[in-house]
Amino acid sequence: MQLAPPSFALLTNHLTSRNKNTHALITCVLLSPRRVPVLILHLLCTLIGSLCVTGSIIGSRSLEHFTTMHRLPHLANRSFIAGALAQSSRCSKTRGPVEWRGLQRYSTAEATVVTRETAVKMREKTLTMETLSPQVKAVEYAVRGPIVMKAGDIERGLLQGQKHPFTEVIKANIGDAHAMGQKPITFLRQVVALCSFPELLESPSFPEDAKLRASRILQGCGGQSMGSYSASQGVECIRQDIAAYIEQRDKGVPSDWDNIYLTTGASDGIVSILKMLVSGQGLSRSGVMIPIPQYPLYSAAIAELDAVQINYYLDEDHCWALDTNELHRAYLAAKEHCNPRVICIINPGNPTGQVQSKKCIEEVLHFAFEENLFVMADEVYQDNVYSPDCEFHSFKKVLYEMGPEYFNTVELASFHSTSKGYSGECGFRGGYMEVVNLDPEVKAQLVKLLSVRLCPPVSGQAAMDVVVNPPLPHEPSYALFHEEKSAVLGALAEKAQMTERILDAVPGIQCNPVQGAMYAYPRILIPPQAVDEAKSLGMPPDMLYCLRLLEETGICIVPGSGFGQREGTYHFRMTILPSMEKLKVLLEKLRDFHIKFLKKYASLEELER
Amino acid sequence: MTENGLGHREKVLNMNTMNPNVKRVEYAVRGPIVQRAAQIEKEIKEGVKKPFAEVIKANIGDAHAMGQKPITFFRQVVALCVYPDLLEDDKFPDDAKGRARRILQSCGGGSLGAYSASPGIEVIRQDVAKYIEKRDGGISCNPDNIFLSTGASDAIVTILKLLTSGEGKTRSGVMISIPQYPLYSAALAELAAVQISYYLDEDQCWSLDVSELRRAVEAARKHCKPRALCIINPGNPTGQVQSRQCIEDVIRFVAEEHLFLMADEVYQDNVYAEGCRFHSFKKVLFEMGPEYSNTVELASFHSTSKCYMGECGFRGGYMEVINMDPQVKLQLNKLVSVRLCPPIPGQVLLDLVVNPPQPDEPSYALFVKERNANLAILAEKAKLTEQVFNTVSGIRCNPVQGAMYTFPRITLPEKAIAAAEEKGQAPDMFYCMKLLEETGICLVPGSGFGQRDGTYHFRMTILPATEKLKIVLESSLDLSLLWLIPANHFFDAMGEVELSCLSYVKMYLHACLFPRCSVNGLLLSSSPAGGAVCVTDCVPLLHSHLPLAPITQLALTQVDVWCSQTQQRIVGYYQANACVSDSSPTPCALKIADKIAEQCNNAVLLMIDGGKMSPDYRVPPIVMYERKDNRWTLKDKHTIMLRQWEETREIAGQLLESGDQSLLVDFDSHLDDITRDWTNQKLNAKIAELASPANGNV
Repeated sequence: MQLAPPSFALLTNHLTSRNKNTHALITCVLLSPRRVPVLILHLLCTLIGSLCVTGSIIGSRSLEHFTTMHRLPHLANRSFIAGALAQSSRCSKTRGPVEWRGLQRYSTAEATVVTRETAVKMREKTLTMETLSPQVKAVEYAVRGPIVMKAGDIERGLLQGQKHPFTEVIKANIGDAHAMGQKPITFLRQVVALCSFPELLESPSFPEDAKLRASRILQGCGGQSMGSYSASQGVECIRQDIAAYIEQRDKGVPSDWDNIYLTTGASDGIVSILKMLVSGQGLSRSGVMIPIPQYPLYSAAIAELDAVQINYYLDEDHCWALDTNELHRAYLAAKEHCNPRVICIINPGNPTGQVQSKKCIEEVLHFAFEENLFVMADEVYQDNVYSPDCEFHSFKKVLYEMGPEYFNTVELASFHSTSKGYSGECGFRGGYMEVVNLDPEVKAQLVKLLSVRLCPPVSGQAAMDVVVNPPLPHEPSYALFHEEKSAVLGALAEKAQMTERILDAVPGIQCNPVQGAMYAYPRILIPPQAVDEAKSLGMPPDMLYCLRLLEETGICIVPGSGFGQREGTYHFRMTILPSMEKLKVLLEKLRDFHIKFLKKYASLEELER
Repeated sequence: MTENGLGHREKVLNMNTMNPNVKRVEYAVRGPIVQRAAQIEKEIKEGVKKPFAEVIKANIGDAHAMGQKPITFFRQVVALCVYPDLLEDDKFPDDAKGRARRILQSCGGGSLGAYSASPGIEVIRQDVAKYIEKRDGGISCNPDNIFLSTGASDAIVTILKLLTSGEGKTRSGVMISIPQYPLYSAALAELAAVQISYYLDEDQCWSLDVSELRRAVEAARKHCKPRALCIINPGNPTGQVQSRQCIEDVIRFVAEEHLFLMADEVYQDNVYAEGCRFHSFKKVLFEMGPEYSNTVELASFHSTSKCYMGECGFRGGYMEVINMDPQVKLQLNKLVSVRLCPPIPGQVLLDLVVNPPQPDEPSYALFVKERNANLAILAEKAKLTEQVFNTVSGIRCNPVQGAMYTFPRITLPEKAIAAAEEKGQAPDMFYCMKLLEETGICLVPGSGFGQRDGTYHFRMTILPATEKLKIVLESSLDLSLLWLIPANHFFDAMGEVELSCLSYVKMYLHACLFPRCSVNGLLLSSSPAGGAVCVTDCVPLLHSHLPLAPITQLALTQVDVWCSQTQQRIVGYYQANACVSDSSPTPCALKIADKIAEQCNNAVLLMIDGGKMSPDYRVPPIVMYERKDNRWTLKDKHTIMLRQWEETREIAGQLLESGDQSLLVDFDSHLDDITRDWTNQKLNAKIAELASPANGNV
């Protein structure tokens, strides 16, 4: 008996409409008497199938099974029924199809019973503080730590009408310029908007130079859309722009765009390089030299990677300068218990705001060369230099000027980002790193590592491109861009100066000049009684100080203990980002609070001493 | 000491001193093939001549790069947020402006340039929670459980990071499917966690079997502490959509084994196959009752990169954590805060994905049109891919029920495997490299995703535009026919086999005549022994009870007698299995073929591949085996010749259309009615009439 194709289609249609009885019927009609055993099997299957369909899983399973069969394109030639039958008979090499299906049903039921029993016993979580990764537990990140969380709570409380002795929380905890009211650079936003919605390229309200930049970036994107993944190292033309920017910044020191990697903010680049560097166990475990005070990303990353943190202290009395003797001390001490491999420097300093002199950088590089250390230069504040007698010197440029012996050997990674400078575009998470003298094989490994996360956000890459490739004097957007940029940097310089002036005048507060970056890191006197109180509360004294400040004035700053400080000294970090008026109010409030705080915990004589 | 540049100094960071965990990381999706593809692209730009005009990248699920257009509304809102001056522009619809204003209000300083809270912008987390509630039919979702991320990858790695602890035998083990998306194996390598592989069942359309999970966890327990189970649904690279039953089984399993469940659901909108539906793990978990929904710890991941929008470059994503220990959640908060926040443009885009235009809004019509168009095209391409692949002999492709990939299995000849080994490459890597060099198509070898030993696959996205996809499919088809390797590469000493039109058409008709049965028969040759085997004719034997020894014996004897009378000899055996998707030789086939091989040195065993017998097949639906070292091994395709295949194919089709298959008489029918002639003289004459004289009959 042969099926004509039309009747075959009919059969399969019936089956997909899940009409089991038709299935059986057609099977009967089509099968020759010789196939009686086959027929019986089929009837059995159908019978079981329809039994199961009434509310049980197995029915739907067998249906799924049938529909899968239907989808196969060759059914016009080979019999559907025969195929299905052979499959079930294949499964039934040891048991009949009836048994097989029955057993399956049974085992499902059995599983339910079993888990019911165990589920009662099982109340403990899989992931608890005990089973949590110890490295994660060790991570500390004060910039978004308990004070900031508390500030968030208070803010929410204020919104809900809770009474506090202030009307708003001023967040001076994080270098987040836009949140503090800084306006974005128009040109940058125009370019990114054009990239996001290219139809705007037709709009007359956008300047030609912005359109040109946007078209160029889009050309570099797959399918000319910001929605496609870029290469893991970043969009090629943006990397080229960055290399050109570095060359210009470093007065002609060559930069190869193959050494440029775009990143998700500078943090991402820093962690990636650290990750590459961590190896060994016990005494050979990688040690990472970081400044104290430091930006806590470093300590957090080191904790997470289970590397050894090696502290070298910046010299507060010399405006947070870096002293090579201290580097040697730290290095030698650490050599006892780990293998120092990296030195991290933040210039201009975060949280300390100093700008390193060229001589100091030379000394660091020389030290790194002598001790065979990898240099990580965090230069995200390179545009934030306010003090007229300071100048930013990139590590790369200084390295070059030290001659080929250094320039061809010292391994260096330098980091930059869109989040700081005059653009302050933190939310875009744009950044890049340049690596110098990296082993080619290691470079391949780095690319591999980065590629697992696919690519940095393309909108951030576009923003980065504008930062390194701003309007040129002959371009239509130059005037506005220049005006905006100078306004931002001018205001920051002014605020830096004012902050230092006001804070340094407060008794019990010592503030180094804010030469660069966005922070002041004044040293504060905390009377012994307050220290005792903090101890009894189980928190560092400067934490207590900051907490009280927050509760009384709504000012949110970060205690020095989150950044590290010499034992027995206390600091806090505050940004200089709030607007002039707000900053003034903030500083005055801070002054009043500080005096009140001192009075509360210490007698005046003590203070005078 | 490594020598470099100046030669006297070892680098601080070199292959010996770098992090060994990073060295272990493998990520094939952007591996050597992709790097080579980029190189070739550059070469083409520089004017180097290639046998193709462009590189087609089917290696990565990157919709926009493959020409998919962004959803207008989404991009409008992002542009408005980036450059709020546009809020004054009357070319933008009001609903887009409304969204943009709402988002900007919740950004610090009303600017996209401010950091957000580390778990993401508050209102966007709320929108995500609402979206999940709606998707899961009202099961409540707490915005506090939502963490926005830099693409789903970021969130997945973060959770894995939390889960990794212990040393030696207590080191955390994480169960991942094989084949898997290599992010998982890469993250586990980087974290030095233990990878526990469980295999998906290729024969059952890559479904997941709990007994396999159990096997894997039991085996792993000897050397690590299993802590988590990762599951990708819809599957990447395998494209299957898990049934509700299967999800329930998995949940029961993790509850029983006390595992943390990680559900990668980034393809939740990419379900194409009829009868398949996406079930979120969370929904199923809550429908299983409080006993499960209050205990099983689950993290589910989603992203803006896939589905209908395909906005990979924005790196938007989120995860929802359920039943996470509150203290651990604090730790999670802390950990994500070190990286400050996910990119805000990505967060904005995610907000739009979870909160698209509503029917009463002006942008709704356009949005729905664009979304449906994108999904419809994907569905169509999924179907096309599967269909075309399944016409190629040597490629077997499960239906692409969902996601954006197909992961077909390829059969590689032994010589190719040997050549790959010589080069120190995985055989499928060798295949993909060859494909890239010769056709410009960039695929990812299955070895990058994991596969059962001895099987070979590749992953291909279905994203290229339909015309391009067709090129990809045709090329891979042609290439699998040629086996990519120059024919003379291993022609030496290999026995050639030529199939005549007559023999092929007859066995083909035999299979068609009894479509619901297994059929078999004998291959005959009229040429003398030695040299190439020319199969000139065949005798169809049985169509029922193939393993029945007495009938087979009877048939063999009779055919043998007839052969000696007509100066022919039996040189092989053919069989078509009843199950269309099964073209492997049955024990009975092997036995008979063994018998034949005793008489004839270079006997062949030919299996008709039912899966490839659709009317629009382009290649012979046959798989041939030869006997080597006492085993039946796959015969190199280069040694199989069908002289005028196109003609042969047409003849077969023509006969089938005119119903001439009923003329065919096999030995079985002869036994039913002994007046019928199993040598098929009538049919032979008919075929000879149609075939050109040179077609294999000389």
